[in-house]
Amino acid sequence: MDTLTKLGILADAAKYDAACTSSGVSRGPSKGKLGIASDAGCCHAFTADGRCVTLLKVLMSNACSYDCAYCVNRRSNTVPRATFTPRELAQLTVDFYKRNYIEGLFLSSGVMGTPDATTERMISCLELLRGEMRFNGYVHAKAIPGTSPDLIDRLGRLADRLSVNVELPSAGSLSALCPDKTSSAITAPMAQIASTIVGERRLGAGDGRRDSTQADGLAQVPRSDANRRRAGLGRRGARAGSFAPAGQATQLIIGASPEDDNHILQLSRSMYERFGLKRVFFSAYMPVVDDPVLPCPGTPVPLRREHRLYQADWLMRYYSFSPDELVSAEEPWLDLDVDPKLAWALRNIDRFPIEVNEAPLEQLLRVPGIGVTGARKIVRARRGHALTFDDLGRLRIVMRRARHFVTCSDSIDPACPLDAELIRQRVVSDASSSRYNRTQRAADRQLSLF
Amino acid sequence: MECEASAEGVLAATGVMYLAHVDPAHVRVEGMGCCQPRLGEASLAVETDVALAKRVYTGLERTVARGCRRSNGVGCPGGCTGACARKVLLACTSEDARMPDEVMRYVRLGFEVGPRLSTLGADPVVAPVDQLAKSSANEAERLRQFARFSHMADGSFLAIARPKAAVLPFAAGYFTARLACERFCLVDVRHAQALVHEAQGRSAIVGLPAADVDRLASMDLAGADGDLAAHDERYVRAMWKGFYDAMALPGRDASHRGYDLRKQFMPERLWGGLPELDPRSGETGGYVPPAYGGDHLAQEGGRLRGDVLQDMRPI
Repeated sequence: MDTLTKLGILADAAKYDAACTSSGVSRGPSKGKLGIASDAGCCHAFTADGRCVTLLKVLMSNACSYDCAYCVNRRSNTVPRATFTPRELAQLTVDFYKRNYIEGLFLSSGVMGTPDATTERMISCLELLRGEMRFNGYVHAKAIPGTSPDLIDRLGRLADRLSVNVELPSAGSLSALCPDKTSSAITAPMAQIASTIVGERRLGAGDGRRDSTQADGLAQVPRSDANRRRAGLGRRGARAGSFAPAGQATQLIIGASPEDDNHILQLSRSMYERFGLKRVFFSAYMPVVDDPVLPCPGTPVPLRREHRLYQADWLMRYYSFSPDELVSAEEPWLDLDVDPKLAWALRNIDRFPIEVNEAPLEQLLRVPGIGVTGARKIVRARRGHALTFDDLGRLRIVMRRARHFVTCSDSIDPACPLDAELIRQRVVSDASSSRYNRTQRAADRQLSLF
Repeated sequence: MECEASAEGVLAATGVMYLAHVDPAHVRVEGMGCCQPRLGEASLAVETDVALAKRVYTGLERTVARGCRRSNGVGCPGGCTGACARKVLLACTSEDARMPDEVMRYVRLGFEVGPRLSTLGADPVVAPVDQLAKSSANEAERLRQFARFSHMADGSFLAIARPKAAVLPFAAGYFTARLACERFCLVDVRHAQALVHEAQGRSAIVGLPAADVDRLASMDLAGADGDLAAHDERYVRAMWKGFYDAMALPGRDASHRGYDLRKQFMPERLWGGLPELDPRSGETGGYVPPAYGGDHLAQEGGRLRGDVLQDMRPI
């Protein structure tokens, strides 16, 4: 089987994993090496469904020994199987990289016999890539639950980011759908990765980038390079030997099991806090396997739910929202027609309107239609003079949503209703009539006919 | 006033206006050949004076950076959130016909208000330049994203792009860092310039003669000019197209969303230069490079697949 055929099989097998970012680490060129890594990442293509392609996302092999019910590669499924040799995958990465097709490699694999045997093969590929082929670009590797700690450690020293897929939001669903996996086998490598990253940063062998995990650790170790040398520690900010400098991530499948959004967001928060995750990815379940414990084939992909969960996750990471503000035990589902920030603002309409010329940044960030960039622009621009609604328009604030929730020099937008209930009706009607919501509702209705 | 629609041209025209004590309220600046004088107006063409343009730019940097916490007294660092002076250079790459006049007014305002310029984002003079700069920055990002290199027969890499702003200088650093050890050439046929990089790390942006631009613009490495490419090029393209096609997920496309997310992120005008969207890329031509020949072929020397390849040259 030539590489073209293998690639067709193994890319197809990997596509259900939603995570595909090359962000989180910045690395300049190095003499004699190929490639760089940029903090913000770079999307080199977009698939027909609009997802970004930034990495060569493939499986090392789809010949999997496990039998997870939702997975297209499960051992009881009849699909073509293929396995890359480490060298051909490393060569493929370099060839794609040189043509500016990708930012690097996203390497995952079905379990070829045992997790250790699979990880050793992945490590061989990355050693070739980093060593013989002197590849300096981005590498994201999946750590397979059940892999021994020393292999996880070796993998983390070759990759920029590691991830362990949680897969399902509860231990009950995991045991029902993944008979070969346990929650402890998943959390053990996550904990190891988190503690190694923190340990490395304490010793200053990370990528030199400051983040929240550094703050408490640095207070206990020598700060000057001379003192660090005497203490047998690495130079501050040195990059050598860094372990997963872009941190770790995970993925959850949405819609294959009955857990609600409240459960999923609370779980995300606890994983961010416990394992210092950079990202939690949500992957809307796509019915590809006929199994009585799963939604039947033909069920629409829960795209809107996935979208709302990503928005809620964004609000938690960049806007200081807590999951309790977005969902609760009484209202455990995110509103599908209205984005979570707007839904929060409508539930808390007594906190609005806020005065654009006086509100602190964190309050501006809570206004629907004002994002991080917009809020910063407002703070900067109001130093010059008091802002008007025309000024906000020139700053490219999304006034269609924001105008109901702000005042400029104590005056409200003349086109806005005064009554809170009317505001609610208008914004909900605007949001519900969007093309996206209309199309999704039509898909749901079509299904209900059957 | 007519000037070359480039950073050097517009800054030089702004300098000439200042030196001639012309009231900007009575002047419009247009790109060369674009000026249509109204009744009672006179047209004046200003030559591009690089030294004067540099002087104006350095002066602007110094003026807007006065008092800036990040400038350390040596001029605008260009990396601050305002990036007030650097955005002039970005805005000047735009092909928008209003660019020369809007940039001139922005530069004049910068000299007038100094460091306060960064707080005037909502000002009618600043906002249009912000938009031009943002649009050009987006175009530079698209060049970084969607330039596609081909492996040529001489071992170098060649990419041909058609950005709608002259942003090659803003994307050059990315490519020279990324492919530091490779010999490559990135050609902007629309603005007749090319980034040329040697494997030893030397690189330059050079202007191209019209004849070369025409030849490069019509080059078709997937078709008639395929002989110019290295032997592995068609196979690698086919793999990339196969990978790209395999990545698409059913149930999430434009008909399910109500809008086309791909067109939003990857404008259709760029599709012609993307091998993944060229149906011809799916053809390998029968040749399989040794590295990709599969295990049994690798053991045999990995050269051949089928009888059409007997005369293929080794890589």
